[in-house]
Amino acid sequence: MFSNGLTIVSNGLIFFLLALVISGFIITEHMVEILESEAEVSVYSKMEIQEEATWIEDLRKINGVRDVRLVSEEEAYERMSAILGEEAQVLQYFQENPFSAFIELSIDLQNMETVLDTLEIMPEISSIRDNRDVLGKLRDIVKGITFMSVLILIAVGMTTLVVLSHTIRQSIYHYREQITTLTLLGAPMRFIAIPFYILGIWMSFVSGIIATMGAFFVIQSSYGFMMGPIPFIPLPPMTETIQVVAIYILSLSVIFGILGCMLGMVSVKKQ
Amino acid sequence: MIRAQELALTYPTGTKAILPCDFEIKSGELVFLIGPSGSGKTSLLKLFMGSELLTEGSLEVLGQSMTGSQRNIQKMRQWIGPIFQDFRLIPNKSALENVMLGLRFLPHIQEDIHVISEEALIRVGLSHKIKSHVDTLSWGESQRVAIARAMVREPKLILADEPTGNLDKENAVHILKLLMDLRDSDTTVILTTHATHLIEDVKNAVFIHMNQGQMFLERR
Repeated sequence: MFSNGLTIVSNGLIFFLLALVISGFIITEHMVEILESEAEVSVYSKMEIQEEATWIEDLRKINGVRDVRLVSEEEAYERMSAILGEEAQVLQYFQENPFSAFIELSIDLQNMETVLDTLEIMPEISSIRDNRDVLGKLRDIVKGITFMSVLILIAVGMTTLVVLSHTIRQSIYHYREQITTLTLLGAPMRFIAIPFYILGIWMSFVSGIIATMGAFFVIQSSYGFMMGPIPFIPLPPMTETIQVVAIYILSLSVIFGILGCMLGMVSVKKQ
Repeated sequence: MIRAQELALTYPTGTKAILPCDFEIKSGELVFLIGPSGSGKTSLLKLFMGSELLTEGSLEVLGQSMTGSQRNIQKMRQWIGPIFQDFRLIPNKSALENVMLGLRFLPHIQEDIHVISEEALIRVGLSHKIKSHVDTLSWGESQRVAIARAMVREPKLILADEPTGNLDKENAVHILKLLMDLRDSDTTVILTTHATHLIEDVKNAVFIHMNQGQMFLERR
């Protein structure tokens, strides 16, 4: 009974770590999705930009361009004022508006390379500015977290399997005389095995519930922490994050429970 | 019923528990396995139950080769009523639940297992202990529950390991009588015993004298 309790607690902690990694993965993936949907390229020209110009119409036809919008000199000035906030008074030192008009292209991130290649060979365009680097770094972060998630998932899987199978073996050893008696009374193997499967799956599931509860409190407090001082981080809805984490952890706990029992049974049979 | 040819059992440690022997036990016979401790009595019973595998020769129990598949041996066990020296009752359960457990895996039992389990306990003189937990029973009562569990299975073969061990003379005689009465229902009963003084006058029985793995069969 005591060792079963320890198994539940230790597996609960392991699943809790996995829950944190999964929630981290969900949040960063959501951030990248949001940023990708807002991927934009700014196009500058030496010529005066007129909205009805043919080359601007050509921009709309490029595969991967979702929208084309002219940003006037005045709008560019206002945007910068908004970004600078209280520091915007520095702009008053300029006698003339230092910003030039440009074209803002909303694009599909998957087609970014094609769009940029096409823009580079257009003679009307003098310079291009994009946020490829930022998105590239974010993608690297997602890759890193995905890799870490897989590693932790493997580690969690192996640890849970070893702990559970050992507990099941111990349990079988504890009841060995009753098992022998039932076997000699003609009990089929499934009748003897089912209680051990129920025990293993139940222990693993309870560990999953403990981990989910722990993750619920951590996610809730983390959201509270992030949404206050750093409100610009695009977080997915909290209930959605908790639901996804709960579904993953509880499903994995059942799967690992079944696998752990199978491993325990096989090792006992071999002996 | 049971046929052995050149049957031998050697344990992995090298101990020769049963030396090569031939014998045949017919249906409905009462068989006493007699001999000192370590003579091979329990090993022979284990071979009959299929919980030990013979290392030489051949053994057939209830038409099933004991060198065959485990699945078939497990099916054959449905026709055996085992009685263990240490009873092997399931703790935290009542006497009735233990007897019912003996019936749970038997497809050939069609009657209400609750009713026939109660009847079996009454037959062994435990009508007043039907609902009692087995942990509260005395040695003699526990042994009688074990016998009821074996008898209620309507077995073709009863294998009893020292069923009178640790019992006073009165209880031992009662239990021997219960087992010997099973001959009337054409059940073969094989039991090991140290209590030779209790079976000196028994007739119509087979006595297998065992000593250091060797055996001598005598029919009286």
